[in-house]
Amino acid sequence: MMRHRKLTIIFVMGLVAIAALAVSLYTRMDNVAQSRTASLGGPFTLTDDTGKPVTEASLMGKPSVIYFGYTFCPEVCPTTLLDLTHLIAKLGPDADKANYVFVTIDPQRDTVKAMHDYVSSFDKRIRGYTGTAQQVAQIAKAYGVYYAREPGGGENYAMDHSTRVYLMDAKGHYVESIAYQEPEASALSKLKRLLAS
Amino acid sequence: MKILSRVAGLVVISVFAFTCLPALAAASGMAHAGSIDIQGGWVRATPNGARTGAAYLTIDNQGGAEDRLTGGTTTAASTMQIHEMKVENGVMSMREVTGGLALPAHAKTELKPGGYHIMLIGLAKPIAAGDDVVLTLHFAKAGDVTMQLPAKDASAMQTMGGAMHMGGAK
Repeated sequence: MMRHRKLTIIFVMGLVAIAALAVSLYTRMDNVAQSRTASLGGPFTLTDDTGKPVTEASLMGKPSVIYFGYTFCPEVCPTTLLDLTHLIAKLGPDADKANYVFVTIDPQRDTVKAMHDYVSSFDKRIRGYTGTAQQVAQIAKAYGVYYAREPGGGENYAMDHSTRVYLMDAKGHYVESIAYQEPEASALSKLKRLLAS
Repeated sequence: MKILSRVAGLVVISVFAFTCLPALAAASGMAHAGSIDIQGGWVRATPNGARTGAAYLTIDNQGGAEDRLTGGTTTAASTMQIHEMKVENGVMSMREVTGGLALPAHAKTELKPGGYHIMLIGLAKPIAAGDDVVLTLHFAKAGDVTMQLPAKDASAMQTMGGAMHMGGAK
């Protein structure tokens, strides 16, 4: 009987230790993720879809909604930009308080004209940014955006790329992001919070 | 006289069948050939200047043997390929399915957003919501199937209210 109780105590203590370890690991991972995202954003030099040069300073003074993709993208990019168009409409006149930018990660094919044609299908406040391969690499690195050309893809190659929509404050600091196909209510409340900041 | 009217009646029925029935089937996104039954086909409307599009459908292989969707052609684009798309850890990747898409016996294979799709490459012009897109699919066993797929806007958020249409000038 005594022995049984001892075993039970050891078992419970073990469980508590495992739980504590899990919590501390989880907290640490969360901290790492936060410290990594807190520094997102930074200087860039690109060209907008009207051919005008733009830098990080062009977005200052207003919060920004930034999405990275490419115009050859058959599904994720048009869906995200259509969702964003829909969200902007839901925001009403307040939507004017932010910048909306679609940055290509495929500058080889996405010329200024290609970007202009493409963004014309969505809310007129969404601007398209392109640049040289180096300029695009610079902004992608600053925002922690992963992109890579499909290995072995011919001239109709696809691009792998991060699908998050980045929400930046009026000083160009990262606030939070919207995931691909995040429920509308959640995405809308994040945008409203950004506009109110 | 009786024969004449009967012939005339037959002609009217045939004309109706040949002109109206394909038209009814036009935007249905359905087709059938051999053991292959295709349902729920649609094409994503594309933004201006887009050079790629995507078609989705469900293929029901009602036969007792595996078939393969090996490719196809379309009047809407210069090339058609079968692709698989994935979003993993927030990164989207897309690859051509080489060697054709296996269609197991007595099973439905879905080509839908977030998974397999038919990629239309080199669009002749943007696909607008309401357009009908003609596809011919090649099956290893069932042969060729030609069908028309309706084009529609596809926002993940289903409350578009019809206010916005891609492919149209704004």
